[in-house]
Amino acid sequence: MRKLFWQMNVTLDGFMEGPNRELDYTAHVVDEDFDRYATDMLKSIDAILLGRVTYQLFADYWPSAMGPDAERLNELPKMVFSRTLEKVEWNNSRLIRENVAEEVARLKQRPGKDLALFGSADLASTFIRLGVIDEYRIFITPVVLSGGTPLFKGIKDRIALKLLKATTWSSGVVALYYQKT
Amino acid sequence: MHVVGGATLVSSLMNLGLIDELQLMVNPLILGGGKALFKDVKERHALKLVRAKPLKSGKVSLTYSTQS
Repeated sequence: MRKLFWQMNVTLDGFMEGPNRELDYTAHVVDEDFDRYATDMLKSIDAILLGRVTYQLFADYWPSAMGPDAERLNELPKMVFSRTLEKVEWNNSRLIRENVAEEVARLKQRPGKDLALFGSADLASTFIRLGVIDEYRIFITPVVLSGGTPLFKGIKDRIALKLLKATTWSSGVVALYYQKT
Repeated sequence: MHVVGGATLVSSLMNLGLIDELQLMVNPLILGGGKALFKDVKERHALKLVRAKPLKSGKVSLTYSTQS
């Protein structure tokens, strides 16, 4: 069965976004090390899973962005999980409104490359509860935000993970890779 | 000076701008609740990563400088 990984930015004090949902801290993340990571990562997957909020951010930005990574993101199949969206218009997107567990299980059983979940903290909480996330890629930005939405807000249980790898980028981001135990 | 501890103390010292270097240990665990390390910090602090070192235990040791 292929792997589903969750890739997420977080501040050193554990927030995924600021008190007004601002994401300006993630400007720290993007440097040539990240670009290299992103290009390789996008070659390693053949579908993207997204929650509503991250889908909307991506669908606003990527269709008019330039470069090979933008092209790849625009062409990859995208599964958007939302009960409230009426339709999805970003190229090659499909809306999934119910039967989340079955849809993800079916995707993972299909042969192919890895599956990526970007951001989408609420959906990630659901996926973690369902036990379908195989790998966590947590990018810690070197900032203490002092308030915001906690990355693991939706998790009420204790979950032990196995550290796979820790790498640093020139931006000061620490990329931590964990495996489900 | 090496201060060990203490979320409340760390927050107070950060608010006063008295910390030069932070050494943190990240455990391979999602706790699902508890006390936040920087809970009483009042403003945004940009830090500079000094080093990150994975340990055999699965913990990651992180060192940051406050002089960013």
